[in-house]
Amino acid sequence: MSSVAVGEPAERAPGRKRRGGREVFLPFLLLLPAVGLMLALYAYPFISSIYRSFLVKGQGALTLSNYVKVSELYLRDIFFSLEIAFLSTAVAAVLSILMATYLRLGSGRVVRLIGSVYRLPIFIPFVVVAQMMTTFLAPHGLLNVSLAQIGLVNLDTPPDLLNWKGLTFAFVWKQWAFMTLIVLSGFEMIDNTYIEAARSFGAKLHQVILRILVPMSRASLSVALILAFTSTVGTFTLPYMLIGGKTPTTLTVDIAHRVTYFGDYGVANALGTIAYILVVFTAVYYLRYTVRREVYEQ
Amino acid sequence: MPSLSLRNLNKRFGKAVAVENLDLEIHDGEIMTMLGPSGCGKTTTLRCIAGLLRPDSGEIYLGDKRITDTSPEKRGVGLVFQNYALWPHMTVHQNLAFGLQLRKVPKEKAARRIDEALAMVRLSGFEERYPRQLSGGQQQRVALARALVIEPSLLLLDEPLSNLDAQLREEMRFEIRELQKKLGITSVYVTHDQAEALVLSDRIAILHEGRLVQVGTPEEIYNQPGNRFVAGFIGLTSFVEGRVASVDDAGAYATVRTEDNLEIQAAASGLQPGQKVTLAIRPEHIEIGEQEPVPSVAGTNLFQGQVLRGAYLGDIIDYRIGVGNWVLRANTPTDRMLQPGQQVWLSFAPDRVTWIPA
Amino acid sequence: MGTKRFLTRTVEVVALVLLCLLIFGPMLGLVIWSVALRWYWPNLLPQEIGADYWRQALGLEKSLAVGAVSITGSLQTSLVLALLVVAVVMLLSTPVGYVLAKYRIPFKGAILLLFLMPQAFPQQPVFVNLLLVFTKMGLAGTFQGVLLVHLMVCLVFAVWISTAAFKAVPSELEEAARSLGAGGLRTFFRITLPLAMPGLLASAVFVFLTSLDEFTGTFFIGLPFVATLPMLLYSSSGFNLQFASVIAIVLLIPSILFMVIIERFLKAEYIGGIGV
Repeated sequence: MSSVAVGEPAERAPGRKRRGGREVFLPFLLLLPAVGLMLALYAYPFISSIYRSFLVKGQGALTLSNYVKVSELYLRDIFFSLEIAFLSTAVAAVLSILMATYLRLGSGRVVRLIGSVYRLPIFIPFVVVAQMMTTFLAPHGLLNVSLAQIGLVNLDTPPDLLNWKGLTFAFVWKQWAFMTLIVLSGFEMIDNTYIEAARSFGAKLHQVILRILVPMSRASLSVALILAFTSTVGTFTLPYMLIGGKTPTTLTVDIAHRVTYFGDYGVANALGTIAYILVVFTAVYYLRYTVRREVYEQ
Repeated sequence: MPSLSLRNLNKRFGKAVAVENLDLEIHDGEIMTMLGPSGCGKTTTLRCIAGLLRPDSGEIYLGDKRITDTSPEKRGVGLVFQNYALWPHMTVHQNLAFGLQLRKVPKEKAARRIDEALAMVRLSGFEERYPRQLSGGQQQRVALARALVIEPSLLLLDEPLSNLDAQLREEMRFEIRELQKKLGITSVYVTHDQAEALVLSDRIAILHEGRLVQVGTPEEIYNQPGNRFVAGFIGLTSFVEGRVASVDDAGAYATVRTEDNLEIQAAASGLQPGQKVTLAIRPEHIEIGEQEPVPSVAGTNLFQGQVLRGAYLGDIIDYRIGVGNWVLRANTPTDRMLQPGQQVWLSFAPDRVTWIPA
Repeated sequence: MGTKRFLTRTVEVVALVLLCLLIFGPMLGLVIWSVALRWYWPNLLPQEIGADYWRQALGLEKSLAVGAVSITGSLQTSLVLALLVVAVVMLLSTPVGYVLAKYRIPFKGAILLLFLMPQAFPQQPVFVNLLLVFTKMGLAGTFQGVLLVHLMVCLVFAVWISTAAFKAVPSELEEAARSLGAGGLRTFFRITLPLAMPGLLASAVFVFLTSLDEFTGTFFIGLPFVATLPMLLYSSSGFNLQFASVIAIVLLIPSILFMVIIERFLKAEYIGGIGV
């Protein structure tokens, strides 16, 4: 950078849009360590996870036998993972739209207070969420015991919540706040006049939500949906600690079992590759959206 | 079309007073402009009329119906915003159809009304465009059509032209006025642009710091400003302060003497000797002579002054001229250049001097 | 009109109370469990409470009665790890953020992609394959191995946050410095870096939290030899609820503390990735 200083015209923007010689060399030099680290610790294992899904121990040739095994053993779990992801993302999305609407249109001290409190779950790591939920949702946990106080639950035969119900509840609990944050940032970019115009034409609250707020913030809403969906499919901590090896369980738990109990990396990687495929549409959409945004912004 | 009546309207935001004791009648079929600098309460008033804000006290009547607490969607008011507020995810047609769908207008009838509304603003054939594919002027006309297509009983316009460039703005003034007259729709138009207000209003209400200062036709407002603020806000005006020295026998003209002993003749209309007044003189009413003027009309005010500076404005040159302790503004055509420091003679007719209570 | 408003108010209040119960209920459970000495259903609250598990966990007391170990060792591991990760990641990510924000370079899309992929795809298979590699290299189950995994996980967020931080510095301010004769380096250190500093600090805090809370990568690479706090929480959650609750609260405190500090600087989508 210091090479620019002497005898060059001052109106040239510093370090921008320049090609040739050291000016291209330097940025790459700055990128090198981080990019190298990512290539070694992310890109290589990522590609190798796909490659190894076609390998079986002691066999040289590529084979589909890992996938055959997956289809025999884990089909139910693949669908279970998808069901949980769809269900919790959908529920969290509806809740987050409602919450974001409340925070966007409301005013006053209560709204501001809620506006700062609702974010709490965002900052709580999954491992803590998992621990919280295990005790909260246990057969004789706080939830059932509290509900028993008002006669909704019989503690002699408490409802079992440590299955898809509890898992969905936990995922919604964690993702909903974070989705609200993104959706709200979209809602906040909508000028008041668009909403006022709709109201002056006779739109009621639900019509304002469905016809103005949601369609006008499609971009942030899809980012919220994508990130929540991807994270739900890929999260290992929560299902592992909450429902563990019960049947059905999630893909991520199966991967861990395959590795820790059987040392079977082939099937684990086949399951991993399937996890990639489950999110491939949302991932591609997200990557294109973000890369395009970052490149255009320049 | 009903008339609109605001009765003793008050609105505060925290401690700040936005609107104070506002009484205003907007007659049936009239276009009334609320004019004032930013922060004068005009937009707040408009939002109260639209139902987007609830006044702290006071009443709003549309015809003989009290609408103070009616929610905005039930008021049947057409709104046009400064930024147009055309929903970017809807086509022109969908934007116009929105209000009609909510009113459950049958589809065919709605389509016909949309066609008519677009024809009215000369945008037929633009139905399938999105707002971003339209120019600013076209967007503004769509916004107008969207407000009118629901056949509102009241049309509210909030600085609708201030995002347009100067030339387009001037055209649109006439267009809006013509449309309003053709439909005979009672309208309230908010602006800070006095030229706009003068061109398109039946009457103008001037607001200042939340209070109504003066209501009148454009001519009344321009020629008989009720106070110094109005005179200063509408058009260019020079002010001179003094005390009434004498009033002639007919009570038609008064002589006003300033502290530095200038004597100015003014139309008296109710002035009393001894009264303190502010005189308002508009630049276009002042003649500038470079020599001592030829025999002047009897009673004409005639003063010698010194050119302080001039500003070339293209069509005229705007001069500031020192007379005694006062600075008067006066114009010349651009082919007559005066030099700073030059001595000149100013003359203006007493009838052109209006007075404002000091 | 009056009754309608009253109804809306009531609905609003009920919804808010439910919301608070659902948000705080599970957290409340943690707090109660961490001090519960005896708690049998159907009681809503424990029969006997005390700070025994807290004292034990913090190493103030050693008693076999509550059957718990101390968290001090793990806490130390976690803190040292997190601080190291912050130092290295900030060193690596700051230049990347600057380049991505200010330069127009070839292959930019591909580089962006490399830093976006971990957000868009599940990371668990990557950890599994890192385990394979690390096992061969003798890094599995070592502190260094865990450090490397944390670096990878945190680098992604740090790069995006620091890119945003540098983007927020108007080029005109740098250009003004250059036009007054400041060289590239001086401009960077006197103008750009100080202006981007709040964002970079937020990034550092965020990296610290992410490392502190990291679970999946440590689970595959570190277990059973490297016991960070989340690992200790996991291994005790099955048999000792009180102790697990204490650890969970210890992990919660910095998150909540820092929430106030960093939320102003962060885009929502980056926050979403915390503690996965």
